Amino acid sequence: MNQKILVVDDDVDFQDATSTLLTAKGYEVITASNGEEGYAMAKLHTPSVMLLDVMMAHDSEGFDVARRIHEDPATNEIPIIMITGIRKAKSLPYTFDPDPDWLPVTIVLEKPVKPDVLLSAVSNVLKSSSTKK
Amino acid sequence: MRVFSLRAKILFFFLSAIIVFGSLTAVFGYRIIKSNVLKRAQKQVQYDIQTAKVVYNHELEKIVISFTSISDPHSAMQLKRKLGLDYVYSISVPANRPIASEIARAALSGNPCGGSRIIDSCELAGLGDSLAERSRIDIVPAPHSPLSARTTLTSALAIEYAQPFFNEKGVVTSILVGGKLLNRYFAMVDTIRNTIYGDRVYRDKPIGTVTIFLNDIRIATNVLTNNNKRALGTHVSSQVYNHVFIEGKSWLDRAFVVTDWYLTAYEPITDINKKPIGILYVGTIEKPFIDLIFHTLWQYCFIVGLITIVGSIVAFLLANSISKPLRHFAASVGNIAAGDMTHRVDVEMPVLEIKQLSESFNEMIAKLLQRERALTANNSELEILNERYLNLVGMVSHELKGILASAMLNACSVRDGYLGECTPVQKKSLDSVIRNLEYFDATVMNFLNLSRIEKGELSLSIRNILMREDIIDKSIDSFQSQADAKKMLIRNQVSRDCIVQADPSLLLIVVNNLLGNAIKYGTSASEIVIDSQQAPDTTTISVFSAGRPITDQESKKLFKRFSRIETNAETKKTRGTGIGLFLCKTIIENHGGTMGYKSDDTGNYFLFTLKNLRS
Repeated sequence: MNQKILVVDDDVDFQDATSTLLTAKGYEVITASNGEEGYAMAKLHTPSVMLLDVMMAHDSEGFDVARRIHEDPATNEIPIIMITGIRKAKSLPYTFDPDPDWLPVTIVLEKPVKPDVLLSAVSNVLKSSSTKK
Repeated sequence: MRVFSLRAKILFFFLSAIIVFGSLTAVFGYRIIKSNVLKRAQKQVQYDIQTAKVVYNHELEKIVISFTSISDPHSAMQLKRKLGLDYVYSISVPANRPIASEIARAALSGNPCGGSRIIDSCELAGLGDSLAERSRIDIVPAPHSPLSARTTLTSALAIEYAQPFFNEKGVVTSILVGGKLLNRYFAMVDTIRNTIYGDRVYRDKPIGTVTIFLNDIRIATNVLTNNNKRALGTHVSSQVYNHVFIEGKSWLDRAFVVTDWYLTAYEPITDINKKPIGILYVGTIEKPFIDLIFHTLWQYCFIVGLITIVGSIVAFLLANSISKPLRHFAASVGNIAAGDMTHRVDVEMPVLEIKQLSESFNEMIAKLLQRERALTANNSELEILNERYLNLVGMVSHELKGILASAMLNACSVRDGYLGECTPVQKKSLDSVIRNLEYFDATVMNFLNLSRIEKGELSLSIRNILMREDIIDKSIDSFQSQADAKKMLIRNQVSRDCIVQADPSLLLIVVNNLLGNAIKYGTSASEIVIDSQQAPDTTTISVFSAGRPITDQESKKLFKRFSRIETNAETKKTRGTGIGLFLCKTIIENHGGTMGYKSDDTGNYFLFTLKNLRS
C-alpha cells in the first residue's frame, strides 16, 4: 500500500508542486488548504507524514495545528515536516527549533525547498516512524 | 572665573567711581583751601606789620611836632609831662661832658635827628624819675638766647628826638633832647593791636598780638603767658632772631609764640646807624584759619557723603532697572530652553534695547516653533509613508517567496528527472531557470531583511560561533553551483579555531552577500579567497575576488542603500538591487563591528571586523 502524505498549505501552487513530486515518487497525496481542514484530514486519514505550512490564515497557524495533532491521541503518532517561508524572512517572536511542547514537529524545512531535500526528509521521517513502530 | 550679577557690577563701578573721585577731590580740595586761606592770612599779616610800623613811627612824629613849636629849649623842659615824654633835657654847646646819645650827637651838625636807640642803665640812672627802675625787666631764662646769661634787663629801648637851637650867627648853641621809653610801654602795643584787630577774640584769646623786643627780649607786649600775664622778659625763637636780628631781614611765616601757633611778621628796629637793636612783631593766631579749613573740609566731606548716598541709591535703582528686565529675559529664555516653545518673553520692558531684543527673540521663537511644527508634521507624514513602504516591501516579498517556492520546486523536480527524463537542452534551459530563481530568492531575502532592519526589527541573538564551520562553509555550499557556472574556485582560508561573537543567521546574510557579489562581479575562472586575520580582541574576515579595482569615485556609493556601481558595461550588465552591501554594513555595525573594502591591482577585498570570543 502506498504511504499517504498530507500536504497542508494555503498556496494551491505549492500544494500542486508538492503533490506532483510526491505522487511521481509513488506516494499517495492528500491536500488541505488551512489548519482546520488539515487537522480534520489528519484525523480522518491518519497519513504517514504530514507536510505543514506555518503561515496560513494567521502567522502561526501551523504551530497551532502541530500542537493539536500532537495532543490528540488519534493523531499524535503522525510525524510532521514543517515547511516555512518565514523563518528567515520575518522577525517572529519565537524560534523554529523542534520541541515536544512548543513545536512538536520532526523537521523544519525552509522554502524554497529543493526536491531532493524534500524527498530525503520525507523518506527519513518515514524510516524513523516505521522503526518506532 | 568668578561671575557677578550685572546689578552688582554696575553698583560696584558706580560706587568705586564716586569714592575715588570724592577722595581725590577731598585731598586736593584740602590742599587748595589750606594754601589759599593761609596765604591770604599771611598776606594780611604783612599789611598788619606795616600798620604797626606806622603807629610806631607816629610816636616819634608826635615828639617832632611838639618840639618844632618850641623856641626856647628851657621852656620845653616844663612841657615834659604835658608832652607825655619820659625824659627831656637840654645840652649846651659846646658840651662840658661827653654826649651819651648818638641822636643828640648827630644833631650837633645842625640838623634835627630822631629814631630808636638803646639807653644803658647808667644813662637811665642819669635821666632820673626812677626811669632805671621802671625799665627794669626780669628775663625768663632761655638756653638759646644770646642774652641768656643775664637775669635782668637794665637797659631800655627808646624813641628819641634831638632838636638843635642856633644863635643869630646860625651856630648851634644848644640841643634839646626828648624821648619815650618803650620798656613796659603797653599803651603803644595795645594801640597797635586795637588799630589792626579791634577787640576781636577767638576762644577767649585776642586774635592778634603785638610785641616790641629789645634785642630778643619782650619789653612791651600783649602776648599772654599761661598765667594770663604779659609775657615780658620772654625771648623770641632763635630761628626768628637769627633771621631778623642777625641777618636784618623781615620774617613772614607761622611761628610758635609763647603758647600758640601764630601767623607772624617780624621787622627789625634799627638805630640811626641802621644797626638792629630790637624787633617789632605782629601776629594773628593761626587756630581760626585752621578751624576754618577743617570746617570747610567737613562741609565738603558732608556733601561728598551725601552725593555718595544719593549716588548709591541712584546706582541701585539704575542697576535694578537694567538687570531686572535682563533677569526676567533670562528666566523666560530658560523656560524656552527647557522645551516650552509656547512661552514668550515679556516685551513690556522699560529698556528700549531689551524690549527690541525681546521682540526679536519672540519672533525667532515663533519662527522656530513654526518650523518645528512643520518638521514634526513632515516627519509624521514620512513615518507613515515609510511604514507603508516597509509593509509593502514585506508583503510583496513574502508573496514573491510563496510564488518562488512552488516555481523552484516544480523547476527542480522537472530538471532533476523526478517527473520524467528531460533532454540535455531542456535540462540546460531549466538550469538557467533555476539560477534565476535562486537569484530571485536571494533578492527577495534581501528586501525582506531590509524591511526588517528599517522597521527596527533586527534583534541580535549573539552567541559564540565558529566562523568557518557555522558560516563560511554553509555560504560556500549555497553558492557552489553559481561559482561552478563561472568556473570560479572558492578558497576558504579561514582558520578553524576562529570564533566570533555574532548572530549566526545575520552573519550568514553578510557572508552570502559578500560571496554572492564576489561571484557576480569577479572575473570568470578566477579564484575567490575568503581569509581571516585574528587580533587579540578582534577578527577580520576578508573576501577577495579578482577583477577591476573599484575606483575612489565608485567607493563612495558602495555601502549606500539602492546605490549601484554602474560605471562600466560589465557592472551594468550584472543584476543587483543595491541593498546587499548596505545590509552587510548595517548588520556588522549592529554587532559593534566595522565594514570596509580595499583594492589592489588584482581585485577587491571586502572586509568586516568583529569582536572575538568573550574570555
